Amino acid sequence: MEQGDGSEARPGEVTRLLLAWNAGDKAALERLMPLVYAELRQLAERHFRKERPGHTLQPTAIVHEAYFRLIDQTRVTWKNRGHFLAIASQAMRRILIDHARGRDAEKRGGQAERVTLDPAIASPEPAREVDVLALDEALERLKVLDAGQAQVVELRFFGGLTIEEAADVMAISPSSAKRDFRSAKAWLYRELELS
Amino acid sequence: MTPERWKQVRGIFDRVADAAVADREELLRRECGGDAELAADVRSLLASSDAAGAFLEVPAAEQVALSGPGAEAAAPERIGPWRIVRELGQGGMGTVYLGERSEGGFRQAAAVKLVRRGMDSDFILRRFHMEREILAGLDHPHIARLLDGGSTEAGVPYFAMEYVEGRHLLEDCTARGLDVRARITLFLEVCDAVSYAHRHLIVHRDLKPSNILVTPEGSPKLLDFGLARLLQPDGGGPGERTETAFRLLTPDYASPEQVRGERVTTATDIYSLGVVLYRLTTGRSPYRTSGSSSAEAISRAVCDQEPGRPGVGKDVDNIILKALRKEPERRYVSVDALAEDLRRYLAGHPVLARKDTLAYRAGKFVLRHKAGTVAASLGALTLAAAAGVAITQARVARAERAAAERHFQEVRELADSFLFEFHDAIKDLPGSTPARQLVVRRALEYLEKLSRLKSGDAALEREVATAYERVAKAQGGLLESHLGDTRAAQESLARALAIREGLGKANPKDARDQAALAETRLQLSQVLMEAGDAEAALVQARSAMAILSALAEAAPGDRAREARLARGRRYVGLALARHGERDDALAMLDRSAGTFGALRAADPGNVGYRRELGITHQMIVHALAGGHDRGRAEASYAEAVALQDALVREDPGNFSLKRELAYTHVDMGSFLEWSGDEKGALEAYARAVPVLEGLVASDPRNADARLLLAESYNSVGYGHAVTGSPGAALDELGRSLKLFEAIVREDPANARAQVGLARLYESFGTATEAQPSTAGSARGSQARAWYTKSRDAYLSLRTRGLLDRLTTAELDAVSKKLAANRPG
Repeated sequence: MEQGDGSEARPGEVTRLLLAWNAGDKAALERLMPLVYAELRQLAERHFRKERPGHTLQPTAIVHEAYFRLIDQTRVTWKNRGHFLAIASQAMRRILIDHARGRDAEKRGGQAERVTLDPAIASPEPAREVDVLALDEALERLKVLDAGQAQVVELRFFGGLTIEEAADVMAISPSSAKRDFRSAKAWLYRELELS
Repeated sequence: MTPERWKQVRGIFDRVADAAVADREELLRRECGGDAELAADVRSLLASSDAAGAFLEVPAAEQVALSGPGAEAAAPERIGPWRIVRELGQGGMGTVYLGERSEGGFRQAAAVKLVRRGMDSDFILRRFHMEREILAGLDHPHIARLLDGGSTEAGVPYFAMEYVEGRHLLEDCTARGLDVRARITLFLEVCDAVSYAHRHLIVHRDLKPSNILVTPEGSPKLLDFGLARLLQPDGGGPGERTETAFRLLTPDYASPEQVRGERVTTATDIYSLGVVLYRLTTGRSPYRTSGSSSAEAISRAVCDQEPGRPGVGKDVDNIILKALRKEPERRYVSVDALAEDLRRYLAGHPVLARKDTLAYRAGKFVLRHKAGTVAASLGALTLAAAAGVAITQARVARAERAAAERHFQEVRELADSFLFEFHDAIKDLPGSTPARQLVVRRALEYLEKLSRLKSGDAALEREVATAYERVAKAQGGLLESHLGDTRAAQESLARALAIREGLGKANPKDARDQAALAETRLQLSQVLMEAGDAEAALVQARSAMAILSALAEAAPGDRAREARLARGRRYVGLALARHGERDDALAMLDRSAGTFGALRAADPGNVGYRRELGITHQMIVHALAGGHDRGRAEASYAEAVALQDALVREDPGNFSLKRELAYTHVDMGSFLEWSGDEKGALEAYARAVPVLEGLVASDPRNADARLLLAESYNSVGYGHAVTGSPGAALDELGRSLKLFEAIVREDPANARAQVGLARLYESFGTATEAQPSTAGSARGSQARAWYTKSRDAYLSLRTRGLLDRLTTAELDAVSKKLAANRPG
């Protein structure tokens, strides 16, 4: 993914593509995705450089911030917003994976190895590190079993959406989203051998 | 897994996870019907769900920010005494740094492992303190040494290991283009290191190529020995389990018993070595997991799937497959046995490993019947922090029969590995006493747990009885090196005897049960003699002899039974001698010697018969003490010394053989002393001292060797006192006193040590009287004080019924000396 060159996307452009895609224009997504990716990546990189934990953005902030920056609020419906968040979550997933690969490449002198994230820092509960690349692969396997569950995870973990927001995006009830997420989380945990 | 199957699994998972914890297992079984695989799947999912905690709950972006370049650069400057140079990598247990320190002008490098957050620091540190001595004692050229360990200021545990620069095993073999023979040769060095660790009671538990580095010189180094155990709470004693247990297994190299959450033994390392060798020679993993690399799929394969034939060649294939057997007891009995077979292969000799028989393969289904256990442990494998809930439920709910079976399994593994394999492997090694003590303590914990289970299963009962006997052997017994806790040994044997008697009554025609009952009685007789109860010892020995006679009569010509009967007679003879019936004792011992002599003549190379014959002659000398048949004593002494000297020469590292030789000298000294030849006695005792000093130096905590040495110092000291060297006498007696006092402090119930002290006080009296430098009256009163002390010690022993014929005579002798030494 070499789309992100930092060029500013105009809100009008992204909104138009989003609406066109919603109206059935498949090609619109292909042009929309790079724009969202580029915007998110800029936001994310700024975010990643933050040095002190206390100064991080809110979990959902990157995707939401991108939404406010890229979308002309007056022209989109609630449903359009959901679609945008879904696309943005997917883009965030790619960004994080690229970031992980890049960090590895830097560290290992080009030899790709896996990097891990450590949620234990952010959480008082002990938890094991998450290998983003392995998670990405496992998520693809989960998608084969249940695409909806894979999406909930993508929205929650990569997009930073809440259960309610994710349920909105997917047009299901929050309780269904919660269940989907719970068993997906257990399955992925097992799949990643975090045991 | 298909989408349909997943739908079914997650449906049940949802309903069970919604239910109250207490109802889960019940609901799970109802929902799954008889589908054990389905139940296992859901159970492991529940365990994962419980364990997952904050997993995926914190959005990825936030974590990246936190562990991004800013946070990452913050490698600590120091950990303990180590200055951190750079990060070496991330491992299963945390981050590894290159550290260095200067000491005495030279710089030492170490791989410093900082244990990951979230692991139970207190537990790890506690266990580390418990085991640091053992771990620090691992000194082998192919094992990376543990240099240091402790906790940082923030309370995070760390371990510093010798820093090894090298490539991991598989990588190295590939890079150097080694052929199969060269790989096996390298692997043999690895085996040597593992075997060394096993002799020190350390099981690695996590052997894998990345834990085996090869230095640029081509020498392998094993990393992380003992660390897996420190970090995996399941290896500890009961009550040491902790909620924040993480399993750090690498599923590809884990053994079936690890996957099932069962006890880990040396056989576990043998299995992992098998996997390493498989990969080393084939480049493949032994199991095909149809593309899935999930822990679950691998666990299933490890427990159920037969490994594919490596295809390296018939012999190597058979060797690898033997190491990889699912049942620990069907693998090689030791790493040495595995290495031995590989050496045979390299030398072109036939190997011992055979292909599994057809009958065995047909019986394979048995394994699958253990589905319940496997299911629960699949959970165990995929289980992390506070995993407990689902597992505990599964455990509670498991049928009693399954529990009995599991306990049986536990005790078998325990008995096999801890008591038999470990104990036997090390019992003749100098310095092994503390290790044996550890083995015994662990064993007892499990035995006690087990004996509460009344199962009525004869096989189980036999195992338990055998285990108790082993425990008793290590605790205390006359003829084997032991820990000197005679009371505990008696208790263990009483339990074994109760079980053996029950079995003997239930199976009167079973020669095995009968022989075992006799054996237990003989062992008890030994311990009773040690405790000074000759009467009870005689009862047990006679009762054993009656059984052994009947067995020998039932199968004339059976050498093993003849030898057992001869041993029985020897015990009876010894007990009779102690009980004061010398003629009967000698008759019994002569018959015993006759049998062993004949057995030896029929099979001259048999070390066992030679050894038994030597001991029997020593016993004859012992029984003759207090009498005047010097010719007979000298003849037997000569026989015993000839046999035992030769045995010691053939096997110089054997602790027991040396001890037997020392006993022979001591018994002869004792005979000569009683017959009035003080000079001859002194010489015989003095011959025992260097042998014993060597034994005690190499195993300072061996109570038996220490007792005998303390007694010998006393005897030599007494000899000097009565042969005109009173100065030398006090030196020897002082050594004796120091040693006896230490023994009594540790084992107050040890009658032999108390008798020894009573004798020693008398010797002090004698030596004091002989001192030329002291004024006459002061000398007299000092000697009197020693004699009084001696008499009181004897009297106290008599009150407790602990005096036999010889010691009663000694009491009389002291009393006479006191009477003769009236003041004024």
